Amino acid sequence: MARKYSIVLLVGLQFGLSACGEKVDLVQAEAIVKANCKVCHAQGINGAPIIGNQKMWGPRIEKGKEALVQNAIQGVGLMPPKGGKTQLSKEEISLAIEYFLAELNQ
Amino acid sequence: MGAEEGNEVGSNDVHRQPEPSQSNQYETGNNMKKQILVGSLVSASLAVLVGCSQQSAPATEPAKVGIDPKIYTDSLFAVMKADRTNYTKLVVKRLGPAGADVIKPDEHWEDLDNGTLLPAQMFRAGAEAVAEMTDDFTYSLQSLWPIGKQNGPKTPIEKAGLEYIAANPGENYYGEEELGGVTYYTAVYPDVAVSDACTICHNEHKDSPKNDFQLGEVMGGVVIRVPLNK
Repeated sequence: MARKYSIVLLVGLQFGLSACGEKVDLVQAEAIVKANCKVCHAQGINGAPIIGNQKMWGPRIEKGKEALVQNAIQGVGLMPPKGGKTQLSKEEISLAIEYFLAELNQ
Repeated sequence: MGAEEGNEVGSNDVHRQPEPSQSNQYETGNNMKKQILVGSLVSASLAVLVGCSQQSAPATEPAKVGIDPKIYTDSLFAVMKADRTNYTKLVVKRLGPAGADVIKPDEHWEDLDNGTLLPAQMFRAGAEAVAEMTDDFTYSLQSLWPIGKQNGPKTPIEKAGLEYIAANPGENYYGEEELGGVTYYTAVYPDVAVSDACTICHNEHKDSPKNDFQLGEVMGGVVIRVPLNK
């Protein structure tokens, strides 16, 4: 239950910050995910947290968005650095994370 | 009208039975015994009749409940995926060269004292073991670019499915096909290059028809087939 609340809070905070500051381009974020991340994250290949799956994302979200970005860049578990898409910039990875977080709120 | 008056009116209700005399009480007792006896006999007869009819022919057949074939194949794939991930993470990575280095995952694992199957080989071994057990479902790891020709698509649906998942990363393919007079539900799920070991092995293998696989690319698919009762 506490985990659910933290997901809602973090996702809500993310949207709140986005609304106050720079706007997140979720269309661009979705395009990045579709082209680079979806192949594993749509299916949970090799343990990748599935898009929109709160149970899988819950414990990861508790570490905070910056940690998620760093993990994606450096690789985590069985995920290679940047998921093997080494051409992706930190900004693009960050956008992809924004998309994953937004999908939790759907 | 007060409450007491109301009660009085109630006590004079026409449905109230008259007080029985002493002889009437005896007769009433006998009648009651007879009623109980007859009632018991009727109840027992009914119980026997109902019991017999249930044994010989049920009044209504229970409705057959089935599972959506998509949910069935998706669930099978979830188990396969979890086992493969765990083998990769908890055995190969932990005990292989990247970890304790006490086992050597290798395509030719049987030739090595400490050799162990690559995750894809372990997956295939599971498929073969299931095929020895049951015909209720089959699964296989296939590719449009197989190292072994026997692992290429054999039916039009398999080929269409493998082409679809390669062109649409992250998507699954579902279809029906008739083989040997039986209709099957066939699902195809993506198999992705998740480590350098996958791409290096396939790209450098002498029998591989494709040598430019990249990390994150769909290399093939898991084909799950279940017969449909139609």
